[in-house]
Amino acid sequence: MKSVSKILFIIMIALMSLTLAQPHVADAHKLNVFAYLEDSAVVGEAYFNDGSPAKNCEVLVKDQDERVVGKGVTDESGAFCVNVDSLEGKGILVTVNAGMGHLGQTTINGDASALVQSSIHDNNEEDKLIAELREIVRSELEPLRSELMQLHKELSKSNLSEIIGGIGYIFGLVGVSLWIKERRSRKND
Amino acid sequence: MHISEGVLSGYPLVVGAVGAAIGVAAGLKKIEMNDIPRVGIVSAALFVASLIHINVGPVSVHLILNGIGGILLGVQLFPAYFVALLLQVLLFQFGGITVLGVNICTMAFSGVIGGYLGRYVIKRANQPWLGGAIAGGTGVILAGIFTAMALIFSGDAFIITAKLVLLAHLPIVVIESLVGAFVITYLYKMMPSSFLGVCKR
Repeated sequence: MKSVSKILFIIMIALMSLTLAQPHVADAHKLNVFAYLEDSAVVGEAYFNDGSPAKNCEVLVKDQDERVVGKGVTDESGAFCVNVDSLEGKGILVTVNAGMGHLGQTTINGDASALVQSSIHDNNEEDKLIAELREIVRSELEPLRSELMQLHKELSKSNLSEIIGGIGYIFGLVGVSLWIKERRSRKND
Repeated sequence: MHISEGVLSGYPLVVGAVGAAIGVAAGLKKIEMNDIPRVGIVSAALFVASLIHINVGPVSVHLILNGIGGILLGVQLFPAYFVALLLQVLLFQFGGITVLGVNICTMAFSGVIGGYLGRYVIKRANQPWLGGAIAGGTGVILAGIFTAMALIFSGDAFIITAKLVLLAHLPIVVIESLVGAFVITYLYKMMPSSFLGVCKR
């Protein structure tokens, strides 16, 4: 009997190492989306809470009236860039669907870019200056944005103190229910 | 296997909520004073298991433990899952309040079925490792099937969803049955008292 279980055990190990060779399929939990507006495009990144990118997932951009204004797909690093013609108003919804019930959403504010665009005049000189200024601001903001992204990723990981806190809650609940049952059984006696 | 908020349509949500309510009520009714610590421990294990991702080679996996929980708790798995998943929603925003019922149903119902199957095997063949492996594997497979069903009823394409779910669960099924075999064998040897009430050796 023992040798049978040993053989089975070896088969299991072999199977396990075989399955591990398969590509990563989405089995993580929470899909996080980080997005912002750049000119007439929604740029961002999608990643799971363990930090791995959400690859080849559908991205939908909806305006505040729930109309779909843009569609795209994330690349190998989870980044996406969806071109949209006109975006105005608050509450632009960016949805990333990784399939199998994994859905991530974020809302961004479209007001900022609308302001900039409306202030562009016919004057050529001024136009050029504004374009140059925007380029400079963007390059200055780039490291900040990547740092923000890093921070988002760090925050979305479940940290140890929260996990221990959750266990504490469960133990507390056990204590409370034990106490209630105890009181009840004593009353019945 | 947590379904996110906003994926499912109304019908599966209602069915899931009603099913979860019935399951939790049935489980609570079965809990005696002596069972409470065990339910609490299993609930804590369920809560932690899906939070800790282990990188094995290129794959990041996490345990589910619903079949093993099913062996140890039976129907009491429902309240255990209720507490664990509620805390995951509140602390980590995994899943969501509206899909809580569906998630409890998919995980706990499959775990209970897997657990009863495992118990039957342990009783019949007196091989705890086999029972643990069967319970672990069955729990994951059924959880995958139930999750796919909830998605398909919400309008997902049948073939793509079924394929994705199968692919994603294959490694977890193997790992889970392995862990099930180890855990149940260990518990059977070290704490036979935790099986006395359930298996009637």
